[in-house]
This record gives sequence, C-alpha cells and structure tokens, in this order.
Amino acid sequence: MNNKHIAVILIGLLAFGFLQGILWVRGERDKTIAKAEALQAEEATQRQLVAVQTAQLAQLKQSSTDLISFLNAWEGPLSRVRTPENAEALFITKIRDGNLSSLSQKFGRVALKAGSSLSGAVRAQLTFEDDYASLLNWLGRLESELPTLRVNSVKISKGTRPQDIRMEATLDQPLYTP
Amino acid sequence: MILPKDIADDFKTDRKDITPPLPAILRLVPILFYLTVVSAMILCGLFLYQLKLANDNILAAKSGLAEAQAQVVTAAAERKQLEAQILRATDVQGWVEGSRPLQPLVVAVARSIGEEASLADLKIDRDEESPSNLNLAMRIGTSSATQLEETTDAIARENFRLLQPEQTLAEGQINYRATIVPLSVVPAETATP
Repeated sequence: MNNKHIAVILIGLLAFGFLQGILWVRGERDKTIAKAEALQAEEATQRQLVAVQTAQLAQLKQSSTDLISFLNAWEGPLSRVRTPENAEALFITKIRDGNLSSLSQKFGRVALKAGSSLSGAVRAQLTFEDDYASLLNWLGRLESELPTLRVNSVKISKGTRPQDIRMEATLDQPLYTP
Repeated sequence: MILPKDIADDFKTDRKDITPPLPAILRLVPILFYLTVVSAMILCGLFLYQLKLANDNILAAKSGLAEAQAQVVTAAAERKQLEAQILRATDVQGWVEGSRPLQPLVVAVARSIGEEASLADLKIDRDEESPSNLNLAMRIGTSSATQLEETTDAIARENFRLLQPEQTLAEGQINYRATIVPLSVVPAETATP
C-alpha cells in the first residue's frame, strides 16, 4: 500500500464521515418533525375537545336559563332563613303577630332527602284554638309572607268553645346556605 | 515516444521513488469527496432550516396545547359550577312545587259546607314522596246527598284533581278520603316568591 492508497482511503473516510453527518442531521430533522406533528395532533385533539365542551356548556346554559332564573328569584327569600335559630325566631314572631290562642308549640330539626342542596328544615308543630276567621286568615298570611314555608299538614276540628276551631299544623321552613 | 529496450536505450535510470499511478476507478474518489462536501453543505443547510421550522412548530404547538388544556379546565370548572347550580335549582324547584299554599284549599272546603251540614274535621297531609300531592281526610255531618259533590267541586275549582276517593256513610256522617293532585297550570320555573 503506497501513500496514494492511504490518501484515497483517508478521502474516502472523510466522504463517509460527511455522509454520516448528513444522515445524522436528517435523522434529527425527522425526529423533530415527528415530535412537532405529534404535538400538533394533540393540540388539535384538545382544541376539538374545547369546541365540544364549549358547545355543550352553551347548550346546558341555554337549556337551564329558566331554572337558573328561577333559582335567582328564590334565593333571596330562601337566604333569609339560614340557621335553625333564624327559623324558630321567625315562627315565634309570626305566632305572636297572629295574636292567636296557642295550645302548644314544638320545634325540631328535620332532615331532607339525601343529596339535597337544602341543608335541612326546621319543623314547627303548632296547635291553636281560636275562631275560624282568625286562624285561617293567619294561615293564609303566613303562607303568603313566607313563600318558602311548607305547610306539611293541617288538621281542623271542632274547638272546646262552640265558636272556636282547633287547628293542628305542621310547618317546615327550609334552611338554605347559598 | 518510448522505444523498446532491445532496440535503443533511452539512458534513463529507473525512478524508484515515483509510485505507480492509481487504478482509474480510484480516481473517482476525490471527485466523490468534492461532491460529498458540496452536497453536505447544501443538504445540511436545508435540513437545519427544516429542523428550525420544526422546532418553531413544537414551540407553537406546546403553547397552543397549554392554552387548549387551560380552556378545557376552565370549561370543565364552569360546567361543574353550572351543574351544581342546576342541582340546587332543581332542589329548590322541588321544594317550591311541594309548598303550594293549603289555606285556599281549606277555605274552599270549609265554604262548600252548606247550612244543613257541618264539617266535623278536616285533615290534609302532604305525601312524603311527592309533597305536591295531598292526602285528604274529612268527616262531614250531613243528611244531604249533594253535600259531598259540592265539596269535591270546590276542591276541583282550586285546580286540584281527586284520585282514589273512598267514602263511607255512617250515622249521618260521611267519611271521605282521597288523594289530591294539583293540576300544574303554572310551571314551577315561572313561580315567583
């Protein structure tokens, strides 16, 4: 092997090195392009998800407009009674304002349906004996002044005096925490 | 011109330091080398430019992805909040539906009792499962056959429907029981406090 052969081998090795360099750069480019394409595909999927979620949200908002307006309208009256103490005080005030002959008053806490967003209710079990007009007017006023109050049960029977009636009522006032 | 040695001597001594030429095929090697250098410059330039573009695309895609993921999270949170509000509204709606005033019904029943009859007692209870439905039980002291009809008509005028009525007549008293279902004339969503 003479020096010309050595020179050819060296040049050949250099050319091979350049070729390897080109192939390496191309490989890096391909890897980066593949990574970019994968990320772009993932971004497109996320964008699609955003579009679907936004459309679903808009649909849900539209379909629940009446319900949400309803809630907004009722939140005010409901929020007035948040604790059992509030509810009892309210009942006592209304009974006192009615100026009725009360035989018994009993207050207690009742649980509502499981999973309800109303935290519970205060139940008042009341017994009155008074004249028909006073009792029923009081009940009517109570139901109109406290629109969230539920008259759970009402029993009317004859009173001890001929002009009186006896009214046993069970009233539930929900407790609401906004 | 080179003459054969047996005809004439050219007096030249052999030059031993000069290496024999390479075979013709190996002369392509330098040409290939120059081509490799030129193509390496062109191709590497092109590939590096494409690599830069791909890197820019990666940065843009990463930023877009982060933005989209943030939007997904925001939309999910907004939806969760809305669903909670809907659930709350549904609960409130259920409560309001089951809180229809009873006083007008009691008054209607009491007023329907004629002069020759008397209301011994009246009991209205809300159904536990469906509080908008009412269980009515009453005793009317009467000898009139039409009294019960008048009372049930009065209940119907209050927009209630009587279901499963049961009545027994004993010693001049009518015992009457029925389930009262409201005719939902006003949808609960439109009810106002």
